[in-house]
Amino acid sequence: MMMEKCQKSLMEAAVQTFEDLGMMLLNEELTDDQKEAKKEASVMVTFSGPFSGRLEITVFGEITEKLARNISGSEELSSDILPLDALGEIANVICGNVLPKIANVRDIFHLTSPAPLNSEQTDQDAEMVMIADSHLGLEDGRAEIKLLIDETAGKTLESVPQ
Amino acid sequence: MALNVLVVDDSAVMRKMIIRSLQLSGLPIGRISEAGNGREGLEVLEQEWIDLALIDINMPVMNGEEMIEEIRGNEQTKDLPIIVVSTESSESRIEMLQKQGAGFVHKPFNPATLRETIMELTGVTHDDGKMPEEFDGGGSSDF
Repeated sequence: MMMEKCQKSLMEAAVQTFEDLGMMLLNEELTDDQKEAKKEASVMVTFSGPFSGRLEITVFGEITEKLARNISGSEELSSDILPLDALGEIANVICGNVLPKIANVRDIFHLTSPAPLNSEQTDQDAEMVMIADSHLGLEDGRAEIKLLIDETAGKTLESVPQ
Repeated sequence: MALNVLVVDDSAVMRKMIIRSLQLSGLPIGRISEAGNGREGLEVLEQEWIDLALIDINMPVMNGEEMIEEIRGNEQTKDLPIIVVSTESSESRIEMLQKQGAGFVHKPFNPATLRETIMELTGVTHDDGKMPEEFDGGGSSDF
């Protein structure tokens, strides 16, 4: 039951954020082109509070520059805007919106600034468990969003009123 | 009177988006300054006259809560109108910020929400008393 809630909350937050902030057209049933798109970038936002964990986004296809143009509102990106910054902000907003839905609304979480996610990071995370993931078609590419929490946080989550 | 605005957010792309919303708001906006964290924001406040600060919460070096505490504890800046623009959703944290006299806009936000919060907090109105077309009706998207 709790896992279903996490899955639904993550999907809702991801759809709303990519549509409203990223201004991208979404589809949940991936096309063949979207499935075959090459990995472009991965970012993560870590959080701590009543439980700790991490939200990861990996995008496939040419997504990051388009996101940066859409969010900043400029066709030409200025030198101070890194395309990965836009993907990081998307991760930040999804994370900030999903946590209160799966925890208590009065709980306070501290989020770190978004950072690139590398394979060394994921290899070190034996104690992290994935509690929800979403796959969204984004125009010519796709995004995979994962929510992972510290394994010891399971009991905290189970105690949250449904 | 045009408002000089300080935008504090560690994301350059988000600062651009907020600035674009301000420029399209139809409100009398003067100079817009930017800072990447609370410490840089305080340095701008020491050097420039600012009428309104839009501040994110989760930032490196100095976060938004710490910056607001510093602003409220300084005689020169204690009455500065502040709007927190953040993904924060914790009711208790939002209540703490509101006790500090800060307005709150949740990300992702609709530009009209930002404009209305600015009008409510500062008392400024649209330049010519009309709503800009972009902000009327349901045509505007959330940012």
